[in-house]
Amino acid sequence: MKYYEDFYFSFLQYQYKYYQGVFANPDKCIYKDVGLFPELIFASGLIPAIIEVIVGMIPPNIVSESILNKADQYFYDNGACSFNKFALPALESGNLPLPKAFASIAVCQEATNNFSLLAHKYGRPHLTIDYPYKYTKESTRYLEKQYIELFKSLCNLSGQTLDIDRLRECLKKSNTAAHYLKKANDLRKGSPSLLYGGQMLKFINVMTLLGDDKAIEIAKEYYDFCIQRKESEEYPCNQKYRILWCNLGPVYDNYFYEYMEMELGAIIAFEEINTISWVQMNEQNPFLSLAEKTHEVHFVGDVQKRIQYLINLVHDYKIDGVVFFSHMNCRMFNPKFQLIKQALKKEGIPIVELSGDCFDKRNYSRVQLTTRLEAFIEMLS
Amino acid sequence: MISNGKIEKRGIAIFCDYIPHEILHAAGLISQRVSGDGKVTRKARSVFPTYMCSYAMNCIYSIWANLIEYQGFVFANSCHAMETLHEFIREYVQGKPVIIIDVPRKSDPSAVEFYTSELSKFKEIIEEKFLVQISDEKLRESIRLSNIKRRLVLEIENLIINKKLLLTANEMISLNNCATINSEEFINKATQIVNIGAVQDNILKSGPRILVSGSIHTPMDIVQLVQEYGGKVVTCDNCNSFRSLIGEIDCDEEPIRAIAQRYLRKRSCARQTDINQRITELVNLVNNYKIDGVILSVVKFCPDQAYWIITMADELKRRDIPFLIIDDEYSSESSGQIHTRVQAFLERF
Repeated sequence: MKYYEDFYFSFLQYQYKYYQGVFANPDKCIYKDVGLFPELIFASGLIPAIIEVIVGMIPPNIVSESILNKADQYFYDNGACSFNKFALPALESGNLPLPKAFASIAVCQEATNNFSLLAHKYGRPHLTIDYPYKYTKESTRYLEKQYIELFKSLCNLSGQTLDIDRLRECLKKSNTAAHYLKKANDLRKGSPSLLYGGQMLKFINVMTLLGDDKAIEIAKEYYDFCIQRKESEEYPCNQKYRILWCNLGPVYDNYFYEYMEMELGAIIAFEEINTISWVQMNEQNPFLSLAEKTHEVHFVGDVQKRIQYLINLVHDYKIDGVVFFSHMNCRMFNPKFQLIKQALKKEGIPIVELSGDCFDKRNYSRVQLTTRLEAFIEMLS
Repeated sequence: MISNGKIEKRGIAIFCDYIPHEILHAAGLISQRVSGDGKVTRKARSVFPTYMCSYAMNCIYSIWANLIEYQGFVFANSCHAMETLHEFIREYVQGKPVIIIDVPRKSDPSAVEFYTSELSKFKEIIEEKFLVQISDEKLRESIRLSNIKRRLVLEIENLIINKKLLLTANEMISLNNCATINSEEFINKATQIVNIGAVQDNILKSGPRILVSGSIHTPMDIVQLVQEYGGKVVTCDNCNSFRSLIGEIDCDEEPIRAIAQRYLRKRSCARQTDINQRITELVNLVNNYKIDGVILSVVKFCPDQAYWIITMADELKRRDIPFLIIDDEYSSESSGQIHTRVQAFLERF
């Protein structure tokens, strides 16, 4: 059985076409971080471009390496995340076009700091949402107010009138795409797995464009594929263990996932990042719904929220072991690993930490990564 | 090293400058800022990644070493490291309140409103956990006392700016630490300093006037180096510098709201999102104190300071203000390399 399914290529095609459109219209483009929902940007007539996705799409070559080398100089080798530190030298060298503005939410504080720096350096507005750590009525209200202000600012930038109905329409599209994604994810709970999960690690990019028409098509194609696969009972070969993959993974080494799944039989049954942890948004109350959605994303805020969610995923997807990929210098996720590990251990769930850089290939060693993975897989047996 | 070296009986460990000590004071508790001892233990390294903020790793040891003494722990959602530290302490410390306050990164009216609600809840938690009643009257009394201290600090700042007074960084820091621990002692000391300054005129000391900015706590090893090589650290811009004590709390406003306003509108730190405010504040310090050179000292692997420092360096360069960047672990001893760099920096003046 082939490793990559057809819907995956539709997704890649969509992604590249979308970003072609972005770079052809930099005066309409808003650079945003992955944490900020795109619906408000679409509804204001602007185009969201997710900086982490753009960086992840760049193939590892001499150009990207020279940009990263330059970034090390700017950041005094101070341990900045490669997704973020890439943007400054890339903008400076003209490898990325200057956007109309930057927008971010302080879920990943590093992304917000990065945008603050870039916006100041290039004299562009920086629109920020302050993210409170605790999920309370008051913090939701605070988020809601900020989303209202953000929408006003975006409409000011685009020159469009503030039209709530347009926002409702975007939320409706977002809900529809999320509905298909969720249903497809539910189908994947069965064993054996319907597909190889390694290809799905980049699929998060669809979720960063919820609110766009085309995202619905891609989500539906994924769902249709899962139904068809379930009905035909054709499964990926050689499933020995079902793995839950946490966080992203290296974007430049597809062979690693192929080896893991096809050779070792450790199928990535589900990827935590593709989960839809929020309930459908109420289109009649868009700002409050967005605020609630912000808090409902399970891997931000209190670690206990994430731990409980992971335990549920392990049970729902009949997981044998968890791989936690620690992206180098990610201080949002990685310092919490020990807490997650202890909690999963109490539940009798095996977990391993693989460390590396999702984007920066310069210090990558496949052998090191596979050795650690193989030891974990052996332990599972 | 914990604040003034000893822990008071009703000591509450706090980890951020944005946690209002007035509320704790009104409850009869004492805020004790944990500053770490400059050492990262093996235990800390085993629970956090190597690229974790070394201040947070420092704090773990300080907390374990003084666990029995503290009555509780109050964190702010200052950064990812502090959020995680809070989660660790909450997990492993039993029987003592471990609280986290959401401090907005903005200071607009909705941020003030949100912070007011957070502080009201904080007050209720303190009342419940420590079985005390914090009346408005008690709060106002704490605010009144706090304002006396704040006025004194402002007077001292003005005397330094007008070259009528020179304090060493050590004196400034110990005075600052004393402010939340022993009000009476602070008021006596500060009043004495103000009285001395009032009768002096044009205190001049040779050597370049240096501002140390950046790191969470004033890096005393670097201050020491500056002095060794003939410089004078005139003022500091860190969490334990006068920055935390400048600006009075409005006594006519509802107390919790007044505290929220004051804390969100104080001199900001690298975690706040308004970069322009930070630039203005740094440039004002340089101009007011007639600074010759700035040392931007940042804690390695701090994602707030790593970005902040680039903007600050650009701005200082644009204004032709000499500066030196030092990024190092949060430690109590400078390396030989830092010695050389500080020496070279001071030689240019």
